[in-house]
Amino acid sequence: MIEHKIIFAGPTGAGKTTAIGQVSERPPVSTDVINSDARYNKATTTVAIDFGEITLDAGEKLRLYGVPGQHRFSFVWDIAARGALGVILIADNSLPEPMKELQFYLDGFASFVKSGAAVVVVNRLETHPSPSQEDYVNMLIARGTPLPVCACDPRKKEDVLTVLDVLLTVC
Amino acid sequence: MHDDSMRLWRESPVFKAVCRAEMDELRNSTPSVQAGIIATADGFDVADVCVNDTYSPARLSAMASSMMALAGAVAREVEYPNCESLIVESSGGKTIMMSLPGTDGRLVLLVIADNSASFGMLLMHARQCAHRIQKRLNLTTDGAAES
Ligand SMILES: Nc1nc2c(ncn2[C@@H]2O[C@H](COP(=O)(O)OP(=O)(O)OP(=O)(O)O)[C@@H](O)[C@H]2O)c(=O)[nH]1
Ligand SMILES: [Mg+2]
Repeated sequence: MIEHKIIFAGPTGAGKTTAIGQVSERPPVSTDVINSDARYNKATTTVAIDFGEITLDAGEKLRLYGVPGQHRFSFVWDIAARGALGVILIADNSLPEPMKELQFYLDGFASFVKSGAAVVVVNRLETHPSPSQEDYVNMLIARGTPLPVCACDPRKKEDVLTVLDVLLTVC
Repeated sequence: MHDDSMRLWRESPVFKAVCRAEMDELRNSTPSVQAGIIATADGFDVADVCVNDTYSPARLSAMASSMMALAGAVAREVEYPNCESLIVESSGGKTIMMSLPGTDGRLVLLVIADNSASFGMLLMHARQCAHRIQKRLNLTTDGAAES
C-alpha cells in the first residue's frame, strides 16, 4: 500500500486542526491545549501535532500532520516535516496582512516550497475577499516559487479533499 | 476566547517570585539540578532558575508544553485518565516534566538535572517542589490562584 505523509501548516487560527478533523477517518490525535494568548481569540491551540488518517479511493493512505502556528513552536515543523511528501500552507485571509504572514511559513517549509511540493490554501475568502486568489498566485510567482493556490473553507470536507487532490497531483 | 488564568500567572510578580524561590530550594536540596522552569501549557515561560545560562527558558518552555501535550495524547490513546509526568533519560542527565498540581494541566514544571544524584531522590524532590508551589499559591483543582 502506498502511504504518504502530508503536513498542514500556517498561522494560528487558520484552520489546520479543523481541516484534519474534517477528513480524518478516525478522530485525530489532538494536542490542543487551552490558549492563554490574548492576541488570538480562540479557546484552544495546537502545541505539538494533530494526526489524522485517510484512505483515498485509489487505495493510497495519507497520514495528515498538523503543526502549531506560533513561531515558538517552529522546532516542531522540522520534526514533523521529515519524510513528508508535501505541505499544505493555509493562509488566513482575515489577518491584517495575510500574505506577509504567509512568508514566514513559506520560509519555514522552504525545501517543499522550492521543489513545488506545496499548495497554498486561502480561507475566509467570502468574508475577506482581499487579497484575492490571484494576488497570491502573483506574489508566489514574484518570489520565484510558483505554487497552486486554492480557495478552501477548512470546515468543509469537500474543500479539504480537493486541496489534498491538488497536492497529490503536483507532488 | 483565550484563557486568562495562565496569562495572569505569567504576569504576576508574586507568582513568579514564589515559583523561583521554591525552585531555588529544589536546587539547594538537590545539587544535581541544573535548571527549573515553570511553563504554561501553551508554551510560555513563567519563571525559571538556571545554573547554566546557555539554556533558553523560552525555547524549553515551548518544548515542554509540546512534550506534555504529546504525552497526554499517548495517555488518552491507551485510555489512561491523565499524564502527570514525563521523563527524558540521557547519558548527560535527566529531564523531568510534570504537571503542576492544582492547575488542571495549565502549568508545567520542567527540571533539568545531571546524573550525579539518584533518580529516585531527584523525582521525589521535584514532586515536593511542585507541591510546595501549589500550597504556597493556594492553587486549587479548578485552576484558580488566590494570591
Ligand atoms: N467562517 C470561517 N471560519 C473558518 C474558516 N477557516 C477556519 N475557520 C475557523 O477558524 C477556526 C480555526 O481553528 P483551528 O482549526 O483550531 O486552527 P489551527 O490552524 O489549528 O490553529 P492553531 O492550532 O492554534 O495554530 C475554527 O473555528 C474554524 O471554524 C473559513 O474559511 N471560514
Ligand atoms: Mg491547530
